[in-house]
Amino acid sequence: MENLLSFWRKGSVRSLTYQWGLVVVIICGMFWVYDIATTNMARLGLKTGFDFLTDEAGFPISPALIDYSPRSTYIEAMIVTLLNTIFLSLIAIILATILGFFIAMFKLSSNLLLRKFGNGYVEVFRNVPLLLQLFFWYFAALKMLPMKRSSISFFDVAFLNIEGFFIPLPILEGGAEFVAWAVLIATLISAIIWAWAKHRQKNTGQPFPSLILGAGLIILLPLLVAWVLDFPVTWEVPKFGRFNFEGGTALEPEFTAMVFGLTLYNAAFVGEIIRAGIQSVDKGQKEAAGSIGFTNMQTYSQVIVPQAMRFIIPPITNQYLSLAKSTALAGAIGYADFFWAMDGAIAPQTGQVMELQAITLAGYLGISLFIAMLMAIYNHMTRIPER
Amino acid sequence: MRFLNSKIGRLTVMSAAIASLGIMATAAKADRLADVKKAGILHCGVVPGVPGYAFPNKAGKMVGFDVDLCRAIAAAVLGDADKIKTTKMKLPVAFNAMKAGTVDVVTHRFTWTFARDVGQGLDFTRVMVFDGQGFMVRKSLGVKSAKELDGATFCMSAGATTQGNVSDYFRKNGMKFKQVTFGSMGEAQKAYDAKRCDAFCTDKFGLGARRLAMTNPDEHMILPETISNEPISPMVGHGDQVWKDIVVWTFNALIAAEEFGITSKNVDKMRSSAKNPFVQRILGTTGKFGAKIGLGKDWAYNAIKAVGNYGEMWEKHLGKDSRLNMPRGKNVLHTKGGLLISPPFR
Repeated sequence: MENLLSFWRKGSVRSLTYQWGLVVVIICGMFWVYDIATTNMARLGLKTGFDFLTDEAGFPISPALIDYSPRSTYIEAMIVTLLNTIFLSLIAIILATILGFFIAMFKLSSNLLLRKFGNGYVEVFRNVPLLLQLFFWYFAALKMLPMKRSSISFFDVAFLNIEGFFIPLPILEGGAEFVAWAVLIATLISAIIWAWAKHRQKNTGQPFPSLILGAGLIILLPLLVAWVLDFPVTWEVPKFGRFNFEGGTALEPEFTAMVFGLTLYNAAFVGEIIRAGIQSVDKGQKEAAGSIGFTNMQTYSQVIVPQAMRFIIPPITNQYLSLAKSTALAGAIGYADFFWAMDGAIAPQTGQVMELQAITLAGYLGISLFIAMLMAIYNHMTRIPER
Repeated sequence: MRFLNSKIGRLTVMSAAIASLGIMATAAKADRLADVKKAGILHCGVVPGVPGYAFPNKAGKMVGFDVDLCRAIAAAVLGDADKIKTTKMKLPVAFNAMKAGTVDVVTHRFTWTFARDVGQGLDFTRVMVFDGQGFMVRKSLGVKSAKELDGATFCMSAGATTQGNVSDYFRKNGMKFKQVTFGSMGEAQKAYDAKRCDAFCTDKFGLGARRLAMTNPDEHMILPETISNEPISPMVGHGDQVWKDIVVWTFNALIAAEEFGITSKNVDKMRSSAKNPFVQRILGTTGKFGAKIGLGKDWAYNAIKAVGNYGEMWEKHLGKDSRLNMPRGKNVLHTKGGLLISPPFR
């Protein structure tokens, strides 16, 4: 008995017992729920499975980034709307980051007016529910946009009215692939120049305008190739049909309102994260950079921001994840996102609610993990190199 | 697909089942009638706020056609129409609730379709409203028929058969269209009102009410075409035939009551003095129909007394005595050329 007690009192034995005990309890619990679920589903005659995915969807999706018609299958409908969700998230993340950066700069500015504006912006946008902001931008946009019969024309090739911004669609002809190759080659050359310039600056301290040169190259080389080939592109210009403009492509107000709403809302949080990151860098760093003759611009880009980044990345990753997940509100204002398709369109038609919920969960989990992975890679690249 | 149907795929479904059913699964029952009687309350899933069908009145109590269907069942089973608890449910929630058994009946405006009925763990009971989808347009558009809507943009709401119906109709007629589908009917209606779309689309019995809610109702008109057939039916969980019989025959009794002229006002007099054997059997003065489905002999009497016959319910919530003022359309008795018919009480 005495032996048993002292054996039990050993820390490692006890912790192992507790841990394995918990594992056993969890596994038993899962089996128990699994058993109940299967029994009940069998009793109710539920047909589970994913066969319905290859059935015809029957409803249109607009906008669709890839080829899609109502004759497409449910799985194609899911892919199209998942792409819509990813596309919307991506655009909003980029714009929110840019706008957030400016908000942070405003809040740190020595200019009283800018500082007050930054403060006011953050307080207004982060304290009003996102859904309300989306409704506001959407219906505000509908109120402001011109009616169809009085569309605003831009040089008779692009038109703006309440149903969207109609722009010409480029239709590629033979030879267009050379232009694409030119873009690729120009990007490669720019990268080489950039690497070379960095190497030279490290050795000699001589700066080289590699960014401007690279940008110029990427724009001009493809243009030159296109000019030589006599521009292998025709434009499908929107024309007014019976009800509205047809042909070309359109930027619909639902998408625009989503981008607006998500950007403005998330920029408030991103701005605060960036401000906090910059303020976390010791003041001495800025003064030291100034004392060796760095310009203000150089101080920020070479000294402050690289150090602030390490503070910024983890919370901004959370913000990006939250943004990506909040795109699920898009259905409320009629933008065809992933959740809209799963919950609003496919579930009512098929009734396969549980399977769809599983796919929906997996879809958003996938998007979130993907964003988290990218950010982790970036975080790894920008961490303090340890010797 | 093969992978998804494999064991691992099924396991994924099970995890979702665990997430959605969870502990509730243990509550799924085999003898619903006994459970309802024991609980003394009937749990109903209803549409989240459609005037006329299920909508809070000034006192905050849910009233409407769908709520009365629920009250009728409560009156038949428990003898008291007020012993109900209504829960607002969108379709995915309602379907899961049926599977999990957290509600006894769903009296929602759900269209009876093959895919919803088969293999989903639920049963549609009987069609209580014959509806069909239609279009509303602005008079200024100069359109007289849905056939002239080639290339138009439609506002509608998700979560229904609406999208597929419009798509089918336009495909059938070789026409193109664009649609903006909103998460809720309210937003779809507001967007159409703001001229985002050329046409607004929903079930015809909804269109009338929606037109009245526009900024200027006189600017709009409802096109004559009915592009789909929407039999609206309450649902019960699959596998409890006794409970399904109770629900179906309570609804049948409401329709039969209209056929035989039994109303909430004259039901007492009819019970004591009616000579018609059908009326006697419905109201329990002869035969033992109540006992055969596990209820008291007053089951149908209680239901009719509480909510009236089908016609009374319609006029009170959807027809002449309501703000909606909708004509009954096909929802009149077969004896008057409609589609309502109750199997005989024999």
